[in-house]
Amino acid sequence: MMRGVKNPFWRLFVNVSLVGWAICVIYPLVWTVLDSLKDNQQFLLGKPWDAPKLPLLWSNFSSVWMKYHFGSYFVNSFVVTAASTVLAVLLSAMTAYIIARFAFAGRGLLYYSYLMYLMIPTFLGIIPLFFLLNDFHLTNSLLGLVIVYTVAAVPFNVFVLVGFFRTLPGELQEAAAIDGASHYAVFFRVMLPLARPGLISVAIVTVLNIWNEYIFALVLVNDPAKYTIPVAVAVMQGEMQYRTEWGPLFAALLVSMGPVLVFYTLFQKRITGGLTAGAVKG
Amino acid sequence: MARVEFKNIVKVYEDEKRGSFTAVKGSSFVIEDREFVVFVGPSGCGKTTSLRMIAGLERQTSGDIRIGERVVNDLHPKDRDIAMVFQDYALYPHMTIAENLSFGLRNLKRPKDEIERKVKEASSILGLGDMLSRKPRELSGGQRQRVAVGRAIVRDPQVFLFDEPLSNLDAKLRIQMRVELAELHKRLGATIVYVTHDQVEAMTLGERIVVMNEGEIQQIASPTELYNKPNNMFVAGFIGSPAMNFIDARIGGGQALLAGGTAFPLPEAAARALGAYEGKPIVLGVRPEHIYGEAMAPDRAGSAKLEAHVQVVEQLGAESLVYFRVGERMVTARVHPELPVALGARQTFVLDAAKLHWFDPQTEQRIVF
Repeated sequence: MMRGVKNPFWRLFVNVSLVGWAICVIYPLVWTVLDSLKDNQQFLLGKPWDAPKLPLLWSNFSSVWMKYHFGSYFVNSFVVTAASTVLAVLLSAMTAYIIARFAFAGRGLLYYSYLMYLMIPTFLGIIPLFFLLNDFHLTNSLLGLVIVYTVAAVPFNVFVLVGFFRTLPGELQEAAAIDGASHYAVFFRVMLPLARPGLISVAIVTVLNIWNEYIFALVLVNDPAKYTIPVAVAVMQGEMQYRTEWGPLFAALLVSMGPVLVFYTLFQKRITGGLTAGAVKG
Repeated sequence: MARVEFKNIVKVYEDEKRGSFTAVKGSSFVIEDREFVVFVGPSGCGKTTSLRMIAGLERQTSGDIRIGERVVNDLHPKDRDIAMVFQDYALYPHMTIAENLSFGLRNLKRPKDEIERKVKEASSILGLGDMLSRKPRELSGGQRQRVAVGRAIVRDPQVFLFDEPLSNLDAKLRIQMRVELAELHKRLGATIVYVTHDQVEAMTLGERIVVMNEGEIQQIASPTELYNKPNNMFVAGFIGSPAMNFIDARIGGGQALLAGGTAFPLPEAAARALGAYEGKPIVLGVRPEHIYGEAMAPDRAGSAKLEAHVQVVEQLGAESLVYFRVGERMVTARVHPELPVALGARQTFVLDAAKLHWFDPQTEQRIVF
């Protein structure tokens, strides 16, 4: 940062790079918004950057929501994301608290086994995972997805929250114990509220990851009624090879991106905070 | 309220990399019911470890701790009926002051009206009445400390434990809080165990003081006794500010021969008691306030005189500190501010013969007579 401030050439280079990056990110978004309001004729005959003709075709969105069943996919995604996030954050907070604040044999092993999970590519385990869930009759089920997402999210959250819990003053835990609080009360009434900034940060990262998750949802769910949004968009895209309804496809993409964009806008600072939470004291 | 008893308490910390470290080496003592006892000593002397063992935050390696009639060795902190005030206050930052004060009572599932009454009482004793709805971060250091004390008071425990509670306050506030704590003890009539490294705090607050060093108890006594009859050179040097001066000496022919060549006749009782040290080295201990400028020495001071070149003079207003060298050791005298003292000048000082302490240089124990 200091270098950027002091050296004007470096500063110019950084700014030009950032502007270029911003264009790369924003241009497909704008293109998606424009095309989501066009019909096939405008899409195929006009230039890509032409503004959609008035009146705007909002019916693309209603068609996606009703005809293509994105309403129910949205609900599926919402249920799976909400349930997995709550479970993952709660479980990882409990685990991280124990690892961070209690000395016991095997503590290091437990912590590093979570870290090791982060280093193993998910693809390697997806086939055995499918058969495992199949044996438990949890394929084609939102519950199965919730379990998988929760388990997948815990290691990263534990990694972040252990650092966070370590920065909390130990005296508070001791004071609560002397004040007659049980282990349960110390955790839920003192330590958990204090860890709120860290919890919010990992919750946001978890929400974003789960909302966008595609591979698990594709492999573990075959019943169209149980599709989540990323799978539904992919399926719809596949269908467009035979039936060209570009407007609704772009509208579907926006429906899938909408919540993420809103989330990003609202919690921008927390998201970057979540990645460094617990790394430094304070 | 209750008495606290330590019986042969040993605390050993095991560390795989650094080996074992014995923080407390076999302490035994009794803190009487309603007594204010202060643990004092330098860093690492075992005072905080001892307090934490009473609280149940550390488990002793061996020995028994008794609170009241119960042996509490295996009891969880919450079952020991104690309250503790921490050095960094340890207030719950997400709770209001009222919630902080009532936290312990809520854990005990006390009736709501009792909780309200006790919080009100504690907040009025400590002047926190208009702050109950605030969060700790909105309070000053002194106010936070009061809340921490209040949180202990509302519990009405058998024993109060204070772990260096004033060390984070500025000097002025520390004196004010010291007075308030002394008043609080009178008012509550509670058993209080207080840890500090500040000997002034220990002397002003404690009814009895436990002086510790390197895990061992050096002396347990009232402040006056510690000051007048220290067991050994450590206690003598630790209690009192500025610290007691130690001067290397020899005994010969009923006289004390100080390093640097000065000699003075010993009082009869001292000469008799120190007969065994005839011709041997000995250490003379004298407090700075018991060294006078010759011009202002009281008649009772006696004839123990020494001459030295004044090296530094510190004018403190109500008194002056004069530094000079006797043999290898620097000696401090606390003298009347109007005593004429010139830097570098050779000056005669008089030691108060009745206030001299003699120590065995090998054992460092005081020679009692």
